[in-house]
Amino acid sequence: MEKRKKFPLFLTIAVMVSALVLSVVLSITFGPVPIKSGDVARILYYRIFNISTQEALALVQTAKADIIWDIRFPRVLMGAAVGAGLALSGVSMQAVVRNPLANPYILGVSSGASLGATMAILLGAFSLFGSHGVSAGAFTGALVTSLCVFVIAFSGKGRGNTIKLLLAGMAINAMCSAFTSFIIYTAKDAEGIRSVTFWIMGGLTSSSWKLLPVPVIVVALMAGVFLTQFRTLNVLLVGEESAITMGINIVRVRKIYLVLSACVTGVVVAVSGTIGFVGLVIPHIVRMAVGSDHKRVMPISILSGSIFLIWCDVFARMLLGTSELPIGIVTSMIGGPFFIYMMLTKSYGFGGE
Amino acid sequence: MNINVRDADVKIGKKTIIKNINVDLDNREFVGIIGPNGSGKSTLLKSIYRVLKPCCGTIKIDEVLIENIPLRESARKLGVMTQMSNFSFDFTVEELVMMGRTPHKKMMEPDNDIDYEIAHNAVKMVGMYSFIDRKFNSLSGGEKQRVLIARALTGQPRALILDEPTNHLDIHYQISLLDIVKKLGIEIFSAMHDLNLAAAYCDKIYVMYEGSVVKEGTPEQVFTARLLKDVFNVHALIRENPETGKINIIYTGV
Repeated sequence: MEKRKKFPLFLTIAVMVSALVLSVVLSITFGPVPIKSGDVARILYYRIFNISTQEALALVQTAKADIIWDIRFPRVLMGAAVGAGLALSGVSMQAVVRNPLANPYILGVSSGASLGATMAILLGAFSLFGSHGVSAGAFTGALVTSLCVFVIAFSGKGRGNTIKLLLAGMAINAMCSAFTSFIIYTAKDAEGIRSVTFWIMGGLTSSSWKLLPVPVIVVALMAGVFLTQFRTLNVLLVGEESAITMGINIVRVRKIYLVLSACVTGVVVAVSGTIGFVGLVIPHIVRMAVGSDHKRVMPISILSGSIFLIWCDVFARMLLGTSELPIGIVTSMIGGPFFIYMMLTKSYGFGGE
Repeated sequence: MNINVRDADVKIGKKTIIKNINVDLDNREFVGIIGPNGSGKSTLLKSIYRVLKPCCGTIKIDEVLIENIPLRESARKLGVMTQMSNFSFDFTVEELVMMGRTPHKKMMEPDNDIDYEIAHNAVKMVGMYSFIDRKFNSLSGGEKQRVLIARALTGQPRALILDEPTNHLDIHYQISLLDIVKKLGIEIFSAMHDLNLAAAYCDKIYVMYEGSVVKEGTPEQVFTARLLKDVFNVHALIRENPETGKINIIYTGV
């Protein structure tokens, strides 16, 4: 039998991992204080591997090193984790509901998180968590709403189906948005309203070493889980009956994936606000490039999400010069035109039937 | 491999779709189910390939109650070709056919050369090899049907369940497909619409009408002018095909 050309998956992943590392280093050079990429690389290298030669110590003790290590590096890592989490969750949500319009927020995570964050900022709820009150509020909101949507979709008469899930998500979304708007509308605190708006549009401003471990661990763990699930994800896309005939207990698998994806999204949203577009569009762009097989789509989406968000954050920091833009604005401004370009030039069907 | 259905009823909501069904599949027979639209053929097949659960009665595969068999194990034994489903998201023919290996694979296990060879052989068998890199959604109805058969064969099943396998196929591929599955030497359980093809290929036929089996037996026993009138509401002459000796039905009107 003749050998057919196979997709060079390992090479692609290796190239993308290198691109990710390069993106981390290069993106750190951007900021109010420009720093050379060589210095960034050296400072990171010395700090990470704890090298204490004379030259290393001299460099590590500069103000530059503090900016890099305390401010920019955790922020870039956060961007990578958030981008990976959103892309991962987008891929799995689209497979679970078999709908190309699905995104990480279909369980009402974004509106729930926004409501929680708004309550924390404007009403002082969750003050018990101190400086992490907003994150705690957002996470609680995300958790409660996804639980509600899940319960609504899978109870009542008839089997839970994915359309019911999407509709329940929309209903909960509308309710939460209404409450959020209500709180904002009746609030007197102008500064608070501004920070709510900023939060809702998403941003990595609050990134710190303290906040970093939870999202990184959760995203890494879930990436590990979902990377092993490529077969099941593929079969999910083909439909319920086919999945059963191929030995997949689709009802159980769907529920597990939904819960895991909602967890990732909830954690990510809690630290970064509701960054739109990434989770919807990255999976589609990746499918356009490499086809629908999740063996390729999942790892490449995760890496693309990371890289994309790191660079969006660079734009968010740099575009206005003096102040920062919410990153959600940037993801849509850059991603939208690129997505349309891909739509017009590729023969990809977007899951149309 | 054998499959035995005993006194099975299937309800969807409150409506009983099939009742009191007894079916046996054994001895590498090609068993057909015929019946008018809505007579419960697909429902019966679905309850065997575990998409629907019978509310009463039992279904056994190799003497084991189906509910006691892990889904993955029954999926390895049964190859299923369902009626055409719509696929959102586009896979290539190769990717789709390779999914037939799913029940044989552990979670992280990569596809090896043997898996590809099995899949490619199946694709060649249905005459779709030159389409192997095409997107499934770009194929015609009959081509899609042949790919789905190839996927069912790729699981190397010990019995095949086919729901109107010759739908959408031109006459060449209708006959060629039935030849292929007949030659596999495994039990075939197939819902059929074309009665002459059923008569030509089936060793045993179950006739379904309004959710019940109203007659079973060899094509010679089953096909009578009376039955065709009662069940299908058509007038027909029953003749013998001079070439094959099989039954040949000539429709004369409704």
